[in-house]
Amino acid sequence: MARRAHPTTPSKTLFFVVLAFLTLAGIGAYYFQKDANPYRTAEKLIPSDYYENANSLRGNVYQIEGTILNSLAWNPEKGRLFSIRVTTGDSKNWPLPILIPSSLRQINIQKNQSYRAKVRINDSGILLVEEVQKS
Amino acid sequence: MKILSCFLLLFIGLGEALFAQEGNSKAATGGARPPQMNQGFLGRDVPVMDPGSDTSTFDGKLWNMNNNRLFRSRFEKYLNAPAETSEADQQYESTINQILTLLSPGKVTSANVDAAWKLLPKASEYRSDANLCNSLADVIYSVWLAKNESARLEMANRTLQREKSALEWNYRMNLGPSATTSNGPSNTNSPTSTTTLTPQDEARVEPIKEALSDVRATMVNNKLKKEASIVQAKIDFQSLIIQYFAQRRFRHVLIGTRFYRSLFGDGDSRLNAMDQIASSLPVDKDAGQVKIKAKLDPKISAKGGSGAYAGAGTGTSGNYASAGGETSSSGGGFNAEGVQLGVENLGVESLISAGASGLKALGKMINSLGQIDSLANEAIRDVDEGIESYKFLLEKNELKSATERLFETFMMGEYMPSVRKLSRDDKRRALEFTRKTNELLAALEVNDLTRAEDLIKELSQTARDFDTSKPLAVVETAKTVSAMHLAKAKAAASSGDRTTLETELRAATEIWPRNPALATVSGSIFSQTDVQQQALNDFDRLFAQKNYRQIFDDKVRYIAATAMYPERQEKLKTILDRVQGAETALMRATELAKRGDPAGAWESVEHGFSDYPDDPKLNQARADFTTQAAEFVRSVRTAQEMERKQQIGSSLAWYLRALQDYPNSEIARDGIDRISAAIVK
Repeated sequence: MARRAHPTTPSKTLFFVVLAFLTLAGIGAYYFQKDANPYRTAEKLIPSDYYENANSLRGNVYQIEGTILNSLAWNPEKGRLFSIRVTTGDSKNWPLPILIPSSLRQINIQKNQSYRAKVRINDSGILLVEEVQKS
Repeated sequence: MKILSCFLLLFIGLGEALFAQEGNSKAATGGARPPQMNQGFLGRDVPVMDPGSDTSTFDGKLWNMNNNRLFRSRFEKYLNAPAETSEADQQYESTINQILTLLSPGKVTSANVDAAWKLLPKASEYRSDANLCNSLADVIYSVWLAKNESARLEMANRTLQREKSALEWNYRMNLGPSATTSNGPSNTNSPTSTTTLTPQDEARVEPIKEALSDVRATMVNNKLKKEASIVQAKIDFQSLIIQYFAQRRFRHVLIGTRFYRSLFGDGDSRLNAMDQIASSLPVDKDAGQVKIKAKLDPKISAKGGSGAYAGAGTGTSGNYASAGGETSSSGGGFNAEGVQLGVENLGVESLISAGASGLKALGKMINSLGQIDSLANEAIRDVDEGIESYKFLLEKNELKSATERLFETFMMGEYMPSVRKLSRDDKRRALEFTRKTNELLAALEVNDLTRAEDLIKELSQTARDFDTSKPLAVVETAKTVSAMHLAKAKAAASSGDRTTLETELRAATEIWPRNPALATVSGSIFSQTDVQQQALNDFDRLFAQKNYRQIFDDKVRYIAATAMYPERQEKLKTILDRVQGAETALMRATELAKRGDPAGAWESVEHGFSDYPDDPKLNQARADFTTQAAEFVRSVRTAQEMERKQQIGSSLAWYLRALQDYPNSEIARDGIDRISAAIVK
């Protein structure tokens, strides 16, 4: 019997297919990583609630995103207090105070720059930043 | 007594008679200064006489020795009397001159003396004589009677002498031969010789001896009577002459002395009357003498303060009054004390004794009628010269000196023709000046300074030599002191010090009771006091009502009223600060509102509101601007409310929102800073 010649996949073609796949995966990963919210697991802070009664929110962790307005106070041990303007969906601006602890002193906070932060409302009802990054 | 009073009058009159009222410093100080001043070195309890101005002060009262009722009324009576130039006056003058001429030395004869004596009753018929010539005539007649009595006694003695001789002869004849005379005097006629008589002889001569003894005694008595009668007549005559001298009837003195010399031609013109008067006084030698004692124990020091010291003490042998005086000024003081004055052994007997001693001493100085005569002549000359001087000064319009000279002349020779003949018009000028000076003294004494000032001006116009400097200085000083007291009273009224107010007003009133400013100032003070009290009451009421706006609107009134009340003043200051703050806030708000900044306007009002929440104007403005900046106001108020509730997170967020709404908000910025600092603390 003659051997019937079986069709074979050339290795060169397979290599290119794999390479193309990996390239596409890389591009996709890059794309998705770029726009992803790292604090998406944290609930967004509703400013009106905070305005209404901050003390009732103590201990909660929220994510906020806004633009730094002003530096309000600074203490080398306790950290830096800023005002940040958070814009809600109805286009209302809500200035909020956030306290960046001294442990995050390596992060430069610039005025008029947008940041996204994971915050926890401390015992005083102040938004204490746990993580922050430019948005 | 009359003689003594006349002497007193005379010697005071002979002294320095003056009208220096307007110029005496005592009048000034005593009259125009307040009683608490002018204590003097010896205080006010010791009488002090100022011989320079003829004034004396005692117990704060001033007395011009010449300005008393006795002198003044007598002098004014004279000044108002008409000139004695009538026919009767001239006849009287002529009669007196005629008497003097008849008795003048060298013309004295019995006929002239009789003629002069006959003129005396005629002279007494005139009013001016006051019957003095009659008295003189009576005394002269008494002398003649005494002389007649003397002659009669002489005649009686001659008769007695004959009787005595007869009795002696009878006595000798009745002595018998048996009578033996032994160791008797050589004169056998003497009944005193020792004679041994028989009982029969003795019985026979005894009646003769008794009769002889009676005759001798009668002769001696007659001799004594004769001497005594003449001596008594002399003393009576001398007493009358001295009395006329004391009465300043100098021409009667001359008439009397001339009569005396003619009546008593024995050359004895010794003046025994004074000794006689002194001897007749009931002097008690055991009464001792009056003694005036002064004891000086000076303690002088300079110090501050004021006051006066006066006290009394008792000495060992008499009563003493001690006095100390103190003067002081605002810057320091002079104090002197330790003077004791006392009168010892003062009583009626001792005073009579002193009077008798004085009369005896005077009798030794004036011991002859010749001296009295010369003094009378000198007085007549002096009076005439005084009148001439008065007329001359009157011509020169120097009324002050003229009046002084006239007063002196009047006191010296009130009854002299030259004084009595002075015309009424001439005297009236002196009268007016005298009245005005007396009025001036009275005005100064009662501190009627306005009247005193007017009188000084009048006197300076009418009398060229009237020195206005001293009385004007007194008036001006008193006015100044009064004004100072009034100023102090005003200050005391402003400070509410009623005690000082009353004291100063009383002092000002005492210095110048009729001060026109007194009523005005008093009225204004009391009115001011009422206004001030009303303002204080209103202030207290408005403060209790917290009506600060009303207080602020009348702030000028309340500032003045509370000026002397520190507690109220502090309250007023606080109120004015608060309302002023509110006013400033309102003005600023109005300005901001005009510029379209209701949030700023509200914030300005809110600042004022925090200081003065009860101000209705602020409340109204606050309500208006709240509606105009509702969002901002809501943010601020919510922030403040949250802050109050310790919701510092929410509070800070609301402050941030308020600042977002109104970036210039000071309230928001302050809140943010305050809370931020608390957070990072």
